[in-house]
Amino acid sequence: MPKPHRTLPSRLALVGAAALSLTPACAFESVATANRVPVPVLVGPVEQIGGSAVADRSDGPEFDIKVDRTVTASSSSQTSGNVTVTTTSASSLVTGAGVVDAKVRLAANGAKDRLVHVDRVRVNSYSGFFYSAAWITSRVRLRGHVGRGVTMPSAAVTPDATATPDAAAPANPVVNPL
Amino acid sequence: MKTLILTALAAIALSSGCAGGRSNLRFDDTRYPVSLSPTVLGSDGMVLVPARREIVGKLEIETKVYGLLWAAVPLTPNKNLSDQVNDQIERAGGQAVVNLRVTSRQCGLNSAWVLSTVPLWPGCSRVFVQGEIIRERPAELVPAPQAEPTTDAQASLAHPMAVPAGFRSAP
Repeated sequence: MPKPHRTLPSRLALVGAAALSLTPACAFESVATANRVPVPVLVGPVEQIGGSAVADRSDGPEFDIKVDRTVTASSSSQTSGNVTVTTTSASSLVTGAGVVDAKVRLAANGAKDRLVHVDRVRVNSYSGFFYSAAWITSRVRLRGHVGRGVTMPSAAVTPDATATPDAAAPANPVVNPL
Repeated sequence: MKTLILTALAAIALSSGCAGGRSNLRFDDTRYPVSLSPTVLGSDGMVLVPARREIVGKLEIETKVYGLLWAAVPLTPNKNLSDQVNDQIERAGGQAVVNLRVTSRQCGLNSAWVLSTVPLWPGCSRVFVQGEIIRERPAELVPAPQAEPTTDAQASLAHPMAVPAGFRSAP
């Protein structure tokens, strides 16, 4: 098997090919939201309308969520005699926006009546290359914890929600005379 | 020998590069509740249902964060957006922000592949923060339901994300 033979112009061509293959990816973005979580997921110190900043001292379960969008490309070349074969590969990794919903619910252990506090929102985007490989990545990272319990409106609207299973049975059951 | 080492280091430096930006977004001084989810706590301390709130505006913030030394050193380690959030809420006459979306996107400086080999070439990240500015609607202004619900499932639909009581009752 002939060893690959690369000159400086071919190396520059490889880097250029990798870079060009990533050009459409420069508009890639990473988005974080929690639009399916039924409780407040707060990023500031104020918890309720008309309220003031609250120093949250709850120590509930913590979460660390990374919403990523990454594209990588690499190129390699092999020459055998008068034939040069260049192979360029690209891969994409996308973390769906639903990961925030899923991980917040996991941290709250399925509880639907607890506040969620986001303590840190970190954003980054960078692109780079090394020899004949290139990458572009964008990330939004959320770190926080589950807070205190809150009152959900469905508990007040539905009187049956507060009834116990025993109370559902009639007080004086009708006895079949037969 | 020294020339060979320097040449090798220069070759390595010229064959690699990186540019970008990163930062921590801060909302520490916001005077209103800001939520990534569709809900906040109302003035009564209960979770605010969609029927009890109205959208009065849109929160739109666009900013950039920069980095040096191949994105290793952030020029703005912390970006405080509290003032912009407070200003937009007050201009819209709102009381809170819901459905907050944080977006991180590439910027043009990161695309200068050859220049990114230079450690002092800056990179950046474009950041978009969007949301809905809402105002709480007083309970007496919420239209009453037109007909009495006939099943437990219909009674439980006051909160769009609540599980109807009929699914929880024991057989």
